[in-house]
Amino acid sequence: MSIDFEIIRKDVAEALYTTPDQIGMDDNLTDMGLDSMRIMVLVTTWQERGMEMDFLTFAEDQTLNAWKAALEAHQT
Amino acid sequence: MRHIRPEPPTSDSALPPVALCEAQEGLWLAQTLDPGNPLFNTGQFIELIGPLDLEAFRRAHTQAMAESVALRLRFLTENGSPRQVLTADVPELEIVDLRDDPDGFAVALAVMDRDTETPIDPSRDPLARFILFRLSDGHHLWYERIHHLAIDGFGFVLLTNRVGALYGAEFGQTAGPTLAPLSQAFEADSTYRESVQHSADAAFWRDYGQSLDTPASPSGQAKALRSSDRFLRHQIDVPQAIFTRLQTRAQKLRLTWPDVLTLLSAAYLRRVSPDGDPVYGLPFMARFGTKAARVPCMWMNVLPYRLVLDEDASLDAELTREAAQLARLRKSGRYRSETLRRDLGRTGAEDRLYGPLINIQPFDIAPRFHGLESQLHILSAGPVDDLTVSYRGDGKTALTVEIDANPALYTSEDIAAHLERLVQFLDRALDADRLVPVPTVTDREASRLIFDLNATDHDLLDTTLTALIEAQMRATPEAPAVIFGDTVLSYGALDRRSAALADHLVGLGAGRDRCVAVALERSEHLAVALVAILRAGAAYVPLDPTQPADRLAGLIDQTEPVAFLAQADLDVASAMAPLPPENWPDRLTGQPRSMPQPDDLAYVLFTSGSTGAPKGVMIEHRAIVNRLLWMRDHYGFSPKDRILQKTPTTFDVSVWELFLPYLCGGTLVFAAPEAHRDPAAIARTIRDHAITVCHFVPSMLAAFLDHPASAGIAMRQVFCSGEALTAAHRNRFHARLTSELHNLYGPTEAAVDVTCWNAAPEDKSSPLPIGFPVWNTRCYLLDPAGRVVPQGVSGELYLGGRQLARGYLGRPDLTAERFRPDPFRPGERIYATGDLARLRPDGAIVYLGRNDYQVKIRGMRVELGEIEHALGTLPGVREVVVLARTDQGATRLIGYVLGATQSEAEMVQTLGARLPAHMVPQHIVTLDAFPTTANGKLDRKALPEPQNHTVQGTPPQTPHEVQIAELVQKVLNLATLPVREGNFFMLGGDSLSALTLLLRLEESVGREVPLGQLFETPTVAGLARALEQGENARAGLNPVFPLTKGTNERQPPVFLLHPAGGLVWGYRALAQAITARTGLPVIGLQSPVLSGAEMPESLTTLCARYADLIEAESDNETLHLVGWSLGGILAQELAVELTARGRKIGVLAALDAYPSEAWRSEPEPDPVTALRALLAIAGHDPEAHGDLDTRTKVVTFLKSETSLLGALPTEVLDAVVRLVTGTNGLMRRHDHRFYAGEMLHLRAGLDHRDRDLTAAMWEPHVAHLEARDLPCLHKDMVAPNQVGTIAGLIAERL
Repeated sequence: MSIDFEIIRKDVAEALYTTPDQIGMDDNLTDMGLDSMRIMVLVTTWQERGMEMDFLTFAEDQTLNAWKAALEAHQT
Repeated sequence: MRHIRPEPPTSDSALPPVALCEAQEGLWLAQTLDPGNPLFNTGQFIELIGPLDLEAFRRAHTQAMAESVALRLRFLTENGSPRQVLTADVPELEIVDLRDDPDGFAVALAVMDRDTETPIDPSRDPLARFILFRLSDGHHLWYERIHHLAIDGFGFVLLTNRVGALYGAEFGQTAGPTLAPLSQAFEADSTYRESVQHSADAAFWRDYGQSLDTPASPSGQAKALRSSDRFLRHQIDVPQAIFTRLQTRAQKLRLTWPDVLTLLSAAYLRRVSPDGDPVYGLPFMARFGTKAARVPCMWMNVLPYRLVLDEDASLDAELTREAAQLARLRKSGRYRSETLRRDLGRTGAEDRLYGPLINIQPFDIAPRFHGLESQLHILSAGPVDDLTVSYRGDGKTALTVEIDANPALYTSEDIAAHLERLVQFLDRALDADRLVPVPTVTDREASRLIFDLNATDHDLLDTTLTALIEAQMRATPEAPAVIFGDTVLSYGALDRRSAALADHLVGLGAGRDRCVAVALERSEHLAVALVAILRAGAAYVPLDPTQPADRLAGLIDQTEPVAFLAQADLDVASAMAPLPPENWPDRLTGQPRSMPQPDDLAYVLFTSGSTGAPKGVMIEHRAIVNRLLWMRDHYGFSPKDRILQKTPTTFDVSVWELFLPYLCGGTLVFAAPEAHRDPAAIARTIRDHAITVCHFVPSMLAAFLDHPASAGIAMRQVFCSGEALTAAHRNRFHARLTSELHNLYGPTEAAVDVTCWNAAPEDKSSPLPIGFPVWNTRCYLLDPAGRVVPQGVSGELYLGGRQLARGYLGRPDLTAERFRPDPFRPGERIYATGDLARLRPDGAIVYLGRNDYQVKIRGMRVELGEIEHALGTLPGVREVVVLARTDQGATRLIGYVLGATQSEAEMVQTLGARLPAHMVPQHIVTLDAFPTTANGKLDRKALPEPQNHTVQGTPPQTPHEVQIAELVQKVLNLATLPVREGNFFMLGGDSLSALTLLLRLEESVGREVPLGQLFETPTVAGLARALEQGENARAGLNPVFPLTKGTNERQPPVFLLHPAGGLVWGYRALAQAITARTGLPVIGLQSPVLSGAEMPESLTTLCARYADLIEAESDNETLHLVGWSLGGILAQELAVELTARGRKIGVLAALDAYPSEAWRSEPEPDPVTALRALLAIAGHDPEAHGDLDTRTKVVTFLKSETSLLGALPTEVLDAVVRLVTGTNGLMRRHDHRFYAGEMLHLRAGLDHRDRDLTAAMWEPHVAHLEARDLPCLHKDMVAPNQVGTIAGLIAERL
């Protein structure tokens, strides 16, 4: 099973009280207020929905682009 | 199947020695200070169920190890600063096959425990170890143990998951990226340190940290303890019903569940630690969003978080606001709390920023292993200073909570109770709109605290004091009722005279709830007056005839008495004419008197209100009858009792002295007026009148015990109340008098006393409790919101039951404020005492002090009692009082002592070693006597102001002080020379500059100063004194030689007996090892010959002398005795002697010692042989120095060495020589007595090749013998590499 990047984008936007189009693909999500605890909780939600990547994937670089790349790398 | 070849991490191999990152620094320092502590090992094991491919696992493991460079670190010291270097040893997986062992699991666990419990030397030992235990082909335990310097909790997860991923790759799954190299972590560290964010974070935390006071601890202890080498752990699963609601509530508030859980846990911890600042440590993965994110290493940070919580407000709003605050802290969370401590000048051991830790690790779940089921078991997560609440699991399918705690502060029962309460608190809080109604205690606890401990119901005749007294007067008219000097009043006479006066008073209007004032000195007239008033159906109002006329007039106005019984000449400012005894009628008028009812007033007693006018407490007959009949029955009063009346009638203790005699048919004996303040007069009265029972206020008791006249007095019972009775009072009492001693407690508002404690000689309680409630009485400990506090937590004491007063005369407002509805027993009342107390595990109440007289120093409520206790242990000190005086907003602590033999400076110095700095009084004043009030209580207000020293400090004085001050100035780069009181850490010192200072100090004084010393005595004067003491100890040849301080001074000490040379200096390593393993203090006993005594006649007389010294040194019932060589013989003899003196011997250990008969057949050693034995004592192998064959040569050699012996003055060295030869003779002549206990014998297994010296030689002299061989020579028995084993064997036997 897998998870769609759009779900990730939507959840991130929701956690930031905004809409997906307001977040640039290279914006630093931590700077936008996405707290590490919140990312951790988001990751566990995604894992429940079938994502096999672990939290570490999201730990090093906090941009949507980085996450998308990681997701694609994992799925190929 | 793909095979991955381990790739040596080339980039990191070249890592040069580098400084420690800040995260490691604190840990390194802690481990260096406490090298024997194994808790810096963090460990876990993964249980793997299913068919494991062993070779695939091994390959995955090897690769993961190769990627985890931090595991290869070692930690060295360069010029006093720690450095880390890389070694080439990549940890290898050990495989232990237990498939044939039916107890495989247990065996594996034992191996893991032993390994985790073995301390690591990070400068020498590999930091990590991995073992795979094969229990069967389908069941494996994978053990991982890594020193905390190399890894943190998240690093553990990285490493473990990596092995899982690489194992999966063996089966075609994606291996994922490699772990990041350690160099990335160092890069991330330096990038951050140079960033703008770093300075912004520093500013944020400095601002936040400045307001943080001493953190609250549920242990209730102000003292910060170094973490212990063990920890307690209790773990449970959080029920799904709870974490489901946690998720729901968090989602509803758009918060994360870990934040909600953190906040509710903090709210619980605040409930159980009401004193101090609610600052909690929140472990934070500071690596998040950095290059260090994927590096398995030590990177964790702990964020200090101060809980701000209004329990009355909407919980949703509180959670939302505080979650935002948590996010704010995390935003600056890469700034290390160690650095913050340095910024704030709070590096001292007692200056911790936070108390308990709350650690939520949603990621900490078992790793995935292809085709296997896995379970995670945490063995140790690092040292625990106070306590740590850890949650693990994703919070959706599973959540566990565990509490790890420092056993020096908590018992296992405490932790189990916290866990149970915490889970219940979460359960209820998650349903609550506001936290206020959520109870702190569990239902089971509430039922015990509210009902079981107050199950005091006792059937009692509902009667009056009047009826009881009249019945006794009729029953024994001939018996003596009252004695005053030579005057004796029989019950019959008392009956007649009081009836006549009663008739007269009724005629004046006395009756139900009317008052009659009495202001008479002690005499038979007083007895007659009080009985008469009660018989007239009125309430008596005692007034102090020595008080100013205006005050007396005011009280008379307030009570509107029908009569005023006093001497004719008493001036009451014309408020009312006294009715003096000479005008009392002696005949009955026949006036009909009606008996009072149980709810009529018996007396009205004025207590001084803390503000404004005195308050008249109205006590009804039913209340005081309960109190008096309880006392009569509980303490077995009989007609034989002669009760001394010496308490002024204005103090409620007088009530039982005055009436209990009539309720048991005994005799009331009045002390002469004013005699109550004169110990000699009291002693005389007790002896002359054969007093059986009397009362003392504790401060008066202390004065009485000090007075020569009290020696040897015997009574049936002595009661104390009115002030805190201490353990020291109890001990001195029983050493001097023969009598029961009972501690009573109660406010005037609850008819004299409501709790009692038998302070018997065998009672060892310290502090001494006020005990348990009396008949028909309830004691509740409540927090400010009126909720029951758990056992051990301080709360305000509320009283309920039959003894409560009706209220305050004419003050319904005050009555309503202090007497409230009982929340647990509808329709009843409780009285708010304003006293703070806590419960012991057995339910006994311990008084802590006044609620409205809180002393706060640096935000911490200081227990003056604790300081008083410490002061009381100073040499010569008999009595102590500590006051907190506030001048111009600053609170100073001032100690007052009687009998001190030390100077103020010496006392302050000693206390500095025993108490946290903020609890050491600024001044200690020695007085000849304490001022007392009219009631004989200590008059705090009359204690003198201390001479005002400059608070800022004084310049360094002694050469050592100057030397140290200069070094501190240099090391810390200070503009001016620090003062004597200057605290190194407060002046800006930190752990690294501490090392530099000590290094410089070593260079200038030529001797090692332990790091621990600086932490213990961080002031210039303190350090200088420690240096001087160290020197004294060098020259100090006192027979009693304290070697190590235990973690708890009340624990039984270990006495180490000297070998033939008479000195115990060689025992230092052994003593340290014993204390490290057991926490016990260790005291050496040295030969008195060294300090000038004559050679003893025999070992028996010598040991009798040692037994005296031990008895003087320790009042512990249990003692431990250890001796090496001759010391073993001394220890066995002492064991016999001390047992005969009523002590218990815990451990008796003889280290390579053999009984006297083993030596008798040997030739007497010649003087040169004896001299050469000195070489062994000094730590040299005599065989290697065959050329040293004369005294001069030996002494010259020793002098040329930097050894301790060489530094001895010649006359002492002579004494050592005399001892070595002389003691040998004594040993040969010694006749062993039989010791009816066990001896642990340790033989130097590599020695005695020429002689058959065995443990079995002791068999005729001890009842049980346990023998071990150690792989060493005799001379190395107490050397550092053996002492750990010896200490371990001793610890096992405690």
